[in-house]
Amino acid sequence: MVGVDKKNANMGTKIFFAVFFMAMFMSIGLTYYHTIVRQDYAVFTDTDAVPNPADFFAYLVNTVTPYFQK
Amino acid sequence: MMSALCTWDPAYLLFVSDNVYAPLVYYSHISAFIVSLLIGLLVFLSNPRALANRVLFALATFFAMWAFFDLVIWATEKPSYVMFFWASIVPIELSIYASGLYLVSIFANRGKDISLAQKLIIAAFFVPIFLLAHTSYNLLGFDYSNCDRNAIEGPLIQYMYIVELLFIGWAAIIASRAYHRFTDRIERRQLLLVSLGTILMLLLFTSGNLIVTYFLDVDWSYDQYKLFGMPLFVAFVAYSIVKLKTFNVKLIAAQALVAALATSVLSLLFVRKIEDIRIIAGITFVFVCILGFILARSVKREIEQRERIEALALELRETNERQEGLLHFIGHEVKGYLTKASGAFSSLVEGDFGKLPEELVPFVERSLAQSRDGALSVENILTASNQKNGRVSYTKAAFNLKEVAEAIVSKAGSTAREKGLAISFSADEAGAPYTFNGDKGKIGDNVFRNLIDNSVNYTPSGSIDVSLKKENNKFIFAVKDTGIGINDEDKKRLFTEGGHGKDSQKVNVHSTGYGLYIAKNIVEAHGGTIRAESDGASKGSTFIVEFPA
Repeated sequence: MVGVDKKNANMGTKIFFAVFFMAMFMSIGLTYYHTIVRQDYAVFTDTDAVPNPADFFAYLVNTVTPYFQK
Repeated sequence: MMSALCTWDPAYLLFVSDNVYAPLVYYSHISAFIVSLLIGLLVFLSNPRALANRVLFALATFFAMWAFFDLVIWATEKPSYVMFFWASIVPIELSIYASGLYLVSIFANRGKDISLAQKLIIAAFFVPIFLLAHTSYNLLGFDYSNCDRNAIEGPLIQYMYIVELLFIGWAAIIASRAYHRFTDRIERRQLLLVSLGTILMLLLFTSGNLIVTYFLDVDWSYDQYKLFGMPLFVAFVAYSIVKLKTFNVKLIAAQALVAALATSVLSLLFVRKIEDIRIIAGITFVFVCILGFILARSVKREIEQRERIEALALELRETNERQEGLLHFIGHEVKGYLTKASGAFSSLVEGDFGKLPEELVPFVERSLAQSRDGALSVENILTASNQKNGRVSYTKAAFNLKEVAEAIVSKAGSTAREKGLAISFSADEAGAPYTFNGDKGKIGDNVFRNLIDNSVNYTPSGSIDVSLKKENNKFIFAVKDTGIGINDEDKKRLFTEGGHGKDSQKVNVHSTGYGLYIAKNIVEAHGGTIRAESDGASKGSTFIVEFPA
């Protein structure tokens, strides 16, 4: 029956969004616990030791490119 | 540690402080925050049940959250706050892209939802982010080597940039395929405007991230410009709303534009250096020119429309008054002739002029009945017209509803029995006495008798049950028949002026369509309600009148 399928589809979507937003809130909650409550993060004081985010991309390109060149 | 050398001002309300060193941060963030929330709310409130409106609201809310979180990162003096808001902005930022992709997909799908499988595929890209947002894969740590209060971004953010580009490409492919598939011009333009606005906004956003990260040596002061994608998106959406009635929102553009102007000006209050004013004033000036032009044109059109409507309404009122006058004149004239004819036929039937020849009796009786029906029809039309103009007065006094109902059923009984119909009346004794304060004549003739006569007229065979009871402090009068029934379409116009069922005149040629309209007005004038129930055509119907006890 079309009506029943639609009802199930709506229920599926509702469950999907409930799980999705719950996961998002839990992730943010966990981040709050680690950063604000426990202050559990590294601190870089030396300019030379501070990694550049662009390095990760360079690393990724260097790792992946040879794989495709084979 | 360098912290002792860094002097950071404490932030007021999390986001107001002198720590914000880039000149346009407040201008870009506050405008984006307010404009996105405003357009999201206006679109959502105009039709909260429409899927596209909900998704646009979600996109705008995520965008506003992003702008607020980013502002806190700029303003706060606490490293732990920088780390928290910077790490938490990641799932929110990807949600902006997912909402954008969802919105474009809905427009490509002609307003219909995407499948659960598609939703799950989009959500799958969030899994690493939800799992790793709090770890060093997201942010490697806090940079204390200078006083810029930056977090060091980790590989998860590179992953997010890749997913962002993927979502943009995905949205572009969906929009392009749908654009070529659509044949309706308006549909195509709606899709084009919403998709282009969304994709441009997201592209500007990602470009900001990528350019700062890979070409500007992680100087986040340039990152502020990417937020101007939001006003761009709003401009596309607003244009689509005004021109193509997208999202079914009226005047939203004018409201959003005024708010955009107000926030732009408000943001000037946060400018730190006087030389920055020149850039901001320039941007605001362009804003004012474009938005002011659109606003003035839309207001001018509104005023013209209103003037035209007012002129038409005046013309319509005058025509109505003339027609009402004519109707009353003709009505009274016709009613007078019909009444005189009824009187003459009545005298003939009653033998005032001697005994009539046998063959003339049925002819004269039929003529008497028809002239009485004619007078009643004219009376109904005049009553309806008077009710509409508030010219009807009610003489209220206490009377017994049961006695009135019983007398009318008794009178209607002979006509019903001539048609072979069984008619019955029952009153629940528990509800007695049925004393009601109202206009006895009007309730009896125009409500009870009208409903019973209708049942007799529209019931070819079977029975009519008239009942009266008292329940929940209400007198409930019901007429239930096994007649032609009422379909859903007819139910809507049943109690309207001149409105009768689609096929009712096939059964009762004398139906004027005013009887139930008059009954409804009388019932409502007594604080009651009237309704009709029927399971459909040929399934009988029940008319229920409720008066406060």
